[in-house]
Amino acid sequence: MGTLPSRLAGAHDAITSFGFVLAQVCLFAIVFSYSYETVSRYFFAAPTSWSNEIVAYALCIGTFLAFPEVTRRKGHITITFLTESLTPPTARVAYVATCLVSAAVCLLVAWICLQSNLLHIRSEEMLVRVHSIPKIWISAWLTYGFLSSGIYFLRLAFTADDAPETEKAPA
Amino acid sequence: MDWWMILSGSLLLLLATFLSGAPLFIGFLVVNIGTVLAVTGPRGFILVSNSIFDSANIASLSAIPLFILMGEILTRSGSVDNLFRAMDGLVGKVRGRQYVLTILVSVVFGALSGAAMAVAAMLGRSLFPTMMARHYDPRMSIGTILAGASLAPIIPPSVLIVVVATLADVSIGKLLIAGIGPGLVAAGLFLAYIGLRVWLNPALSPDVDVAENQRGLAGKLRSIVLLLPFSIIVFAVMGLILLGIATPSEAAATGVLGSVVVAIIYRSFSFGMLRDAFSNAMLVTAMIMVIVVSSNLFGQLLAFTGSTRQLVAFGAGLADSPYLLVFLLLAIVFVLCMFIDQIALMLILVPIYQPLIQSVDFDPIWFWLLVADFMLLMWCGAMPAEEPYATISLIASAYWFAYFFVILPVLGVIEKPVERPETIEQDFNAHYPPEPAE
Repeated sequence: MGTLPSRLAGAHDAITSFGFVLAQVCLFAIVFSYSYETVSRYFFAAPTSWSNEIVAYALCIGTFLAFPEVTRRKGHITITFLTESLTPPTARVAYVATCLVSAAVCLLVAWICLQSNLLHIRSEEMLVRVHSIPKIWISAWLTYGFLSSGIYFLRLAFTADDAPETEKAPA
Repeated sequence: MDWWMILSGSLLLLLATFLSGAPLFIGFLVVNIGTVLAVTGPRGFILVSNSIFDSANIASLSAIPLFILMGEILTRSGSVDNLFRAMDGLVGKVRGRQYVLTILVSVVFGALSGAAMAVAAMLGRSLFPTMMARHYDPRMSIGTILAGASLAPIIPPSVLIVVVATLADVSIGKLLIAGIGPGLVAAGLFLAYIGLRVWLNPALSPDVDVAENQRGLAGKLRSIVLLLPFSIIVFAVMGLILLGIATPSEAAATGVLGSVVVAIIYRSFSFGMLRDAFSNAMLVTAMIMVIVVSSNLFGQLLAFTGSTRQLVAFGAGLADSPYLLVFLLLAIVFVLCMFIDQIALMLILVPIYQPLIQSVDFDPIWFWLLVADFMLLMWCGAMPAEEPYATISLIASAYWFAYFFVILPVLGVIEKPVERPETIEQDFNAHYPPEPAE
């Protein structure tokens, strides 16, 4: 039986892992929707009315479901040539400081997104496309992504014992 | 507050955050939130969430995960190994064949993958050890691999082109197709450079042998048959776009299906491989998309604070000296590319450059292709100033000069702008000549 913080951290990790699986399902939905649309439109002259919307929503939801997993794996793109030239103790302080700033920014954006979510619920705002859906169904994932990533940055700041791993995105 | 103070203050804060080692998306968010607070106060926070929401819901950006997924499937399934074998057989007995092979594989893999890093990693892992084992020149070998990798973001599909086209609001399909010609011309120039170097110094390439089973016409035919499945992907992506059957994003989705079919044909498909490909593609996508959505407000704030209008006025002042303007714009890219990640730099520069190039009537397709291409070549400059990077940079610079002094003049000859008519009436008369009076 772990302590309360470790159990909370375990629950946070489990939610993130499950969210990441759902993000991959979103990617599958994008592949399926556009493939179906292409075949349906070209071979059967029957374009769908839903593929563009599904793809846009899946991209948004998938991005913010995978966002915390990227943070957990320290996978965000960073420029490290200056921090790499610091001495190890100074580099560690700098790393903790950037994690704390990143946590503060992510949590602030999560709060801003939450205010928008509440506004969407109060005003019953709809996404006006071919098939209208409540905006909150999509915008809520922004709050989840930034909140969870903010918590990961806090965890990284307080558990950091190594330099951040860096990963370069493909150009 | 003056517009230039907001612009320079934002850029300085952005650079400082980037150089502090914080994630790039945090830098954009800090600047955007700071500018909103300075200009409108906390009531403007809604702009931040709206901007993130709107940019995350752009369906055309779905080409990013799809192109990445396509490359992941081809790499993880081992299909790319067949590409090496086939090209190896086709190159045959020529001097400097490993260099030639590197460039040709880069062209084909560039047409299958949208990421320079993926091509550089693939070539470095597979061809570089062979080159060293056969006593090829290390400096020339690394330079050739870097040059080959720089073709990937130009030859479609390209993740960088999708991001640039979306931000600059130009046609993704047109910008992708525009990359085919320059990509092939660049590859031809790289091959000519290799030929010249090897002719001047044969010691650079001591080995011209080909494998026993790849000799003769039968060997060539075997290589062509081995290469054929890749044409499915090239057709599924570029063929569908060129024929007007699918949008770039739809073509990317069919390209993913094509890569699965290719893996099945090569008998290297497995669901475990597919799961890993989806997982990694989603991680890289989230990494890129979070930066894209965080940066989107930057351009809107530039417009909101009046900076865009002033930049256009500045550009109009240089309208009579378009070459000077291009030089200035590229010089900024030249310097910043050494410090800042390419995609992040694009996200900073597009909102600043786009109104400028529109104000002086540059063709946005060719301009952004030139910038994207330029940035990739500057990638070498982002490495520490020590060996082997210093040597790599020297060799990459040679390619860079060939690129600038030959490709652009060639394009200048090929592409003739239509002269702008003085009046609408003149244009109308040119198309519909007035009938002679009877």
